[in-house]
Amino acid sequence: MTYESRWEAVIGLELHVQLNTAAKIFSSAPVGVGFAPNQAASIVDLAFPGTLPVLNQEVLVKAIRFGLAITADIASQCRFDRKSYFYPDLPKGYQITQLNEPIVGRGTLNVQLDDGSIKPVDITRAHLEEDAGKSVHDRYPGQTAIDLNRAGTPLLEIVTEPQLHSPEEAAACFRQLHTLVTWLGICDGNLNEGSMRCDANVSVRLKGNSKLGERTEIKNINSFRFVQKALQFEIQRQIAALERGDTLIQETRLYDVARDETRPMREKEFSDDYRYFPDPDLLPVSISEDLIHQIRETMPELPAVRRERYVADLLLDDSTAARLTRNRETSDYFERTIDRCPNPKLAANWIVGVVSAALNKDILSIEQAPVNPDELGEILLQVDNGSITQTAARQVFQSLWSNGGSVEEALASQKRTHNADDSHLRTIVQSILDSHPKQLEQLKGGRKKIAGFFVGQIMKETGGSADPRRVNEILSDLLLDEDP
Amino acid sequence: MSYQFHTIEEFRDLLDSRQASSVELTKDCLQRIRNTSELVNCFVAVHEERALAAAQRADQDMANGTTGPLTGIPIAHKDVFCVEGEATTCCSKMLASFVAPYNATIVERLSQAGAVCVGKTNMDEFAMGSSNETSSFGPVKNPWNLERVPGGSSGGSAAAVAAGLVPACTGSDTGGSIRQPASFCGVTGFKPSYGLNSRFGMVAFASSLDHPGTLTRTASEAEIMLKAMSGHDKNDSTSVASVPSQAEFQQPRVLGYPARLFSNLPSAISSCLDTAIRTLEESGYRIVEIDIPHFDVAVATYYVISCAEASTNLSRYDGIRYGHRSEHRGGVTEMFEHSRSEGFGTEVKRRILTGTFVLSVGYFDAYYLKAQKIRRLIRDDYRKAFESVDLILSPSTPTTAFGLEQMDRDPTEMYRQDEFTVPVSLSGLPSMSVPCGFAGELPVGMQLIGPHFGEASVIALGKAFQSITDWHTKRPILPS
Amino acid sequence: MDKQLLNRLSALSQLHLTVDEQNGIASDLETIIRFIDVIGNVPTDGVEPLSHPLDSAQVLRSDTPTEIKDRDKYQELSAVTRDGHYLVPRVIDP
Repeated sequence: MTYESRWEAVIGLELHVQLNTAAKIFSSAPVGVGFAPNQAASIVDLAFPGTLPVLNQEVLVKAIRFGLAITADIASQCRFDRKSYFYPDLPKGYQITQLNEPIVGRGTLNVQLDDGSIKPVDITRAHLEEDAGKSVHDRYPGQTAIDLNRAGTPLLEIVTEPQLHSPEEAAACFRQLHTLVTWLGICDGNLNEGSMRCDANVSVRLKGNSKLGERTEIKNINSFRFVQKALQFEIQRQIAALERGDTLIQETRLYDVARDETRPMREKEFSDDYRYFPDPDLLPVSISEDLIHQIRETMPELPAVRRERYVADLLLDDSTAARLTRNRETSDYFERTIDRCPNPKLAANWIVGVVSAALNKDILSIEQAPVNPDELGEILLQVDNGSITQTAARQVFQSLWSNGGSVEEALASQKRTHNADDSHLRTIVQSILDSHPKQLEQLKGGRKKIAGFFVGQIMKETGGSADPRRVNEILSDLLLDEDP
Repeated sequence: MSYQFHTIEEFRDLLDSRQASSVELTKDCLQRIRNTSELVNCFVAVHEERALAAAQRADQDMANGTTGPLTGIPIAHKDVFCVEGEATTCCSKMLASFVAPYNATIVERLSQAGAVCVGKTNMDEFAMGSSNETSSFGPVKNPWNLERVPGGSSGGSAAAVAAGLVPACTGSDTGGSIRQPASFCGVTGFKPSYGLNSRFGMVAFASSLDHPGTLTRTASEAEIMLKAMSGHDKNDSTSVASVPSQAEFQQPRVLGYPARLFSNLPSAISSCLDTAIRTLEESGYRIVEIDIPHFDVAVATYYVISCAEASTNLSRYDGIRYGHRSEHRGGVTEMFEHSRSEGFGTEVKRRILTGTFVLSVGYFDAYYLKAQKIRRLIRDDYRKAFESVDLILSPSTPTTAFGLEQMDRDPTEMYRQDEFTVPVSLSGLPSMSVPCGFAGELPVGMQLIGPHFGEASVIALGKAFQSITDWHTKRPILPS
Repeated sequence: MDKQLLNRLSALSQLHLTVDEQNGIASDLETIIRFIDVIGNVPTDGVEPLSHPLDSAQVLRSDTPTEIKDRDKYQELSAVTRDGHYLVPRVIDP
């Protein structure tokens, strides 16, 4: 569409991140999936009369970890509020959340865009709240089934400023937050299970216009790709409407994955009046400097810091550094590899190349890699000190990957094969020398350039598999033999 | 032999001296309850088998020499407390079929202390009322005059103690629900500081105001009950982890009386108060005139806050997991609306709607937020007053027990019943209503109010007052 | 208390009021609102709202899960359950 260039999209995200605590935010019921229906719902989660919420201290720790990671202000006191609405999977008829006094204040997230550049995005706030249960609509005819296992799972809702301007940027921001929360170990990052759900607020305006347009909110998107696609559709829809001269209304929409479109959610009358007020069952929570200090001490090196260090100190290129720091597991794998083999470039290239190809082929995550980073480091150390060739190293790696065993054995076995190969190679070299007596004379006569001819012939004979350095070595060995 | 009107201490003596067993006391108590049930209607459930089993265990414990002050003593719980395996209805149709799957902390602790729970007492629906007339089990009658109300919402507990059926009952006090019925029934009602007794398992009305407490004949029994009930509970984050040391406790000497506030009191009540105050003065207490400047707006403030909290506390009754579910056909919204409308009585609906109103868009600032600010002013008024006095005295109620159905026209008329008790509730202070005389045949109560966690002073004054007066020993005569 | 406001309040509260009830409750609410309106006369400039009588900080729970053993007992209290689920009339548009 030709008019698109006149318009600019303005996007803000709200991410609901399930914190991976063992117990729920306000009860001692276990958190997780895989329980039979309502088998992980306690009397508190079921909102039985007389039950009361008691805050799980670990959710504070996890929220503060996130806050420190985005260099945000951590509130010295935060508070919980009730947000009232009726829904079958909301047992109390209100959700406990944080309205005016969130635990994490303003911070900044450095988002790496697809072209490798960094875009700082302001995080407005992040607050704690409880998840609702699940409604199952398609299981029983005419009935909706309610499973409250998820009710009370701790959520950290992260709100960004409307500073994203394309579906790609929004997806990159979502991805960056995914990297960060899994890196920090506060969320399992399992998008298929709904561990991170994204709401996107989007409006469009004519470029150069500072006033925001009427915005819509797309609810509950659970993948990077769908965020991008939902926003692509919605931005097109808004632009088309405005180009037609229609007015947009502020509304909530759902993204229909099957049809690749957004459509308005039906909302009950008055349902936007949530009647927030401080939850009288929960006193304000004080967060001591001491606690923040303790948590700061246990913070891991963050992905952005590592990425910069990889470029500045280890002299990796931007895109390799970015790929290595996309998740903590890959980065930690790299770190352990270079503990063993102090050649970062070699290790990095192997991990983004050989290792990642092998993982893709077998559909494994890096924690499941059959070759651990110590083993990889050992193999690469042999390459780095010239004991084996890259080709040989690949063979060792492949053998370890497929057959297991120890690195030492694999290296030894490679050497045996290598030696066997050596004698095979000698035979080839000898036969080529024998079949080109004229050129051999010239070589013996001191015409060093003719050596290239032999090497070429040998390489041709071996289909390029021979190590040229080794070929040269054998060649001079044999010449010495022939010329006592 | 009948043990009617015995106190906890008298029961203790009988048990310790082996003159009676807990089983005997309990059987006698159950018999009294049966005899008076139609007359007073103060019990909504009698746990006969369970009580006798507990009494047997208590007798066993006593035989083994492991006894506490409450071992083997029959008591009853207000129907707002969950007792595992027993109906816990809050006297509402909504919870008519609710059998609690767990024990309230208070219930658990009293049971651990060896007390024998004989049943559940009647109350206003969801503790909303001051006359016990909103109960789905019908009204309780005041043992002093069966044409009159016992007060509410802990009307059943107050009447059960007044009628001498059990020495002690638990109660709950949100705006005056222990002290007002205690005053109407001529017994001692004690609401300790907010945070001292766990609310876990007490069905919520207004969370920042709900106080578990007791109805007994005397202040010293209230003390025995409190010791067994109180203390931190990990299931209630508003229950305090530790209470300022009682070692610093000093006998109260200086008592404040805000006379200005009670200028319109009926003379029959004010003369009781005057006499009581004079008696205290003669015993060496110094009476000081004080003021609580924001006292007059406390009831309105209280209704804004309590209804706001109640409207959300009662949102959980949606007919899904427990409680009344309508037979009305339709979608889920109809199911919610009809279940709630059929399950709740009129007063409960009024308060839910009022709470929704004060929290909703456009009214929040003028009502809810404003009320919270006034709440601070009221609390600060008391803090200031306690800089110069040890305790504060006040009448418990503006009237004596009124007639059944006398107050069903204007709901706010009933709300005014709480005007002397709600300022104290808003501030979370410990307060005890003790009998201080009679207006004709009807008891009059006096409130003893302490600073936060000053229960020891309140109890000390209550005991001292009851050692120099005998109002608490007066007994109603019930037709047999 | 006009009809529109009462409708909004009853919808938010999920209460179905019969026509008879509506009239009675509307006038009760008017009385109640008049009654609470006196708080508007109290000067409160600069006063911080107080939402709780306690000043102390709350005690938190440790992150220790407990197995749920009584699901079936809990579900006996519900009008309609099936295979461990609670059932409600079909929610058409989630």
